[in-house]
Amino acid sequence: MSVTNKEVLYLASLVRMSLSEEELNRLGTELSQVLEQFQSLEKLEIPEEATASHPHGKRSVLRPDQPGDTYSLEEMLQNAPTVEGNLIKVKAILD
Amino acid sequence: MTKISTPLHWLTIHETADLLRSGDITSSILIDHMLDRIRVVDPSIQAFTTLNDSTSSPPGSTAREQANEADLIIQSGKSSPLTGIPGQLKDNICTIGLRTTCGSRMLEDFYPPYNATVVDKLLGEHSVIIGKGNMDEFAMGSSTENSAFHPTHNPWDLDKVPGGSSGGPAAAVAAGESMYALGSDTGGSIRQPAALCGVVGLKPTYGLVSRYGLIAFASSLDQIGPITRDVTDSAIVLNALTGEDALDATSIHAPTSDYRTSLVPDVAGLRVGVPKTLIAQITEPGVRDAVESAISLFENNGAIVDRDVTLDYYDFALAVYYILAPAEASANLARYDGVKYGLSASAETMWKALESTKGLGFGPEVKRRIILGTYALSSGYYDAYYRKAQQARALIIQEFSALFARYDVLLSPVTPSTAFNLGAKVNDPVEMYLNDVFTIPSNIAGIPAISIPAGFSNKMPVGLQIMGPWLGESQVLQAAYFYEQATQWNHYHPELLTD
Repeated sequence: MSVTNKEVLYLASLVRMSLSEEELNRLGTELSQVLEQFQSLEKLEIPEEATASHPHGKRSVLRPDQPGDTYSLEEMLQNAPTVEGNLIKVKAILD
Repeated sequence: MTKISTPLHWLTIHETADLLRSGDITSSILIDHMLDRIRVVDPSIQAFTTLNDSTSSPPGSTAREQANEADLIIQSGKSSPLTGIPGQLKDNICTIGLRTTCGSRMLEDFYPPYNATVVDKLLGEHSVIIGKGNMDEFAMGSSTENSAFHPTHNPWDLDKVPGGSSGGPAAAVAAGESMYALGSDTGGSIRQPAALCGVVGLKPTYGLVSRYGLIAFASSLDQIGPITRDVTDSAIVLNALTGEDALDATSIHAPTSDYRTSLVPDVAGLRVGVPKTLIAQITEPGVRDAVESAISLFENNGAIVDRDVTLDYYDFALAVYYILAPAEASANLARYDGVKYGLSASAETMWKALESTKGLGFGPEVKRRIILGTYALSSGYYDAYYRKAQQARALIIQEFSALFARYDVLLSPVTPSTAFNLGAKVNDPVEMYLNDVFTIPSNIAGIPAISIPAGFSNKMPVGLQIMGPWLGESQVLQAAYFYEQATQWNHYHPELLTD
């Protein structure tokens, strides 16, 4: 199972993450090595009903929607890289 | 006044709590001593990312100020077992106003506006937060070499790794820099460093401890737990951490209110299973000897030991883990967009800024896992990898559930070998991942597991793992307490140059 640099670039584009040339080359090789370890799963026969997204099943955790105090504006904005007035400033999303 | 013969920094929580209550020491004296100890020892161990002192914390919440407050509580007679006791928090546990880096450049200047639930619980008992523990970036790693800031050194041999990802917390407790620490364990990140540093590390049942305020890596596997000097301390800290939390929908109600009641040094009639597949994978003879003699000790003290346990799905556990954990991570880490908090790279367009933020903010292992997880989730591979891994997870859960109908606990090694040299595996991800072969299954099954000191091999600590059924913390702690009392391995400390 080998992963090409082109595939790694495509995956990086899906998650919007830049990679240097060196990282790109290394990740291709490493990913292939790691995926080789996963081939064992192919041999595993799975009964129809088996699936798990949580170790002990799901239960309803719905609760009444009750308004309450959370954080002040200052606290919510304190870590934002660029703030203008009461707003977080971002680059234009549409060209 | 009692004469205190052991240096304060080597005392356990329960020993120290007695001295605090009797008035032989104050929390302020203790914290001053610990901060001095850290100043002397930490330049060679590097277990901390941030100290909770006046240079890094807002007024009113430094370790010294928390200690003063704790002393008032103790004087008023309202203290609990953790009052005035210094604890270190792994740096992925959010603390108001105290920098929380997650070992990453991405969060190098992140000051959380809220406390993790576990932090509120510890502060509610007036424990003292002495600082934040170094870790592999975003808890991804088994050696703490993936910290964006500096590696941590093993107190038993400074050329060796402390394990990871909670390497800072385990090293801090082992080096006498903190009396306990909280770590997080996604695939072994509490137990493996505890084993390599010769301390006690407990990964509780998934959901027993709230994850609110724990920076997410793989949400269906992550769990916070204590790293301590002995099993009694592990029970004391666990008591403080458990409880259902409205802020974490996966948290569950604790069946036991005081885990110290489990500390009975008796294993007569205890049904002990030993998975032979795991013993066969030990690579260091000294580790095998230590684990074998631990098993014999249980046997010679009345436990009913079956050394012939087979695990049909164990071989798939590592693959399942290294598909599911990166898949969850790739989703969890998508939030680091440089807009709301964290590193923010400047670029001409929004997309370019987003790409550079992640490119600059994440280190090599985090990028590796994001790409791996994205691969497993991407169209065309989803069924072959992610779906298959989830199905295999169900089979592993069923297998453990069936095993615990026959056995009260399972014994195994924690790691195939003792601590390796710094730099030895950093460029070989597969080799590094193999370090977690014994610890990963309990995360996949969501069951509790503890690592306790089990002697030495080549002068380095060996860990013994005791796994129990879902919410079986009591029997895990009882078996661990028996072993500790019978062997006293917890009384050994590394000889640091300063001692």
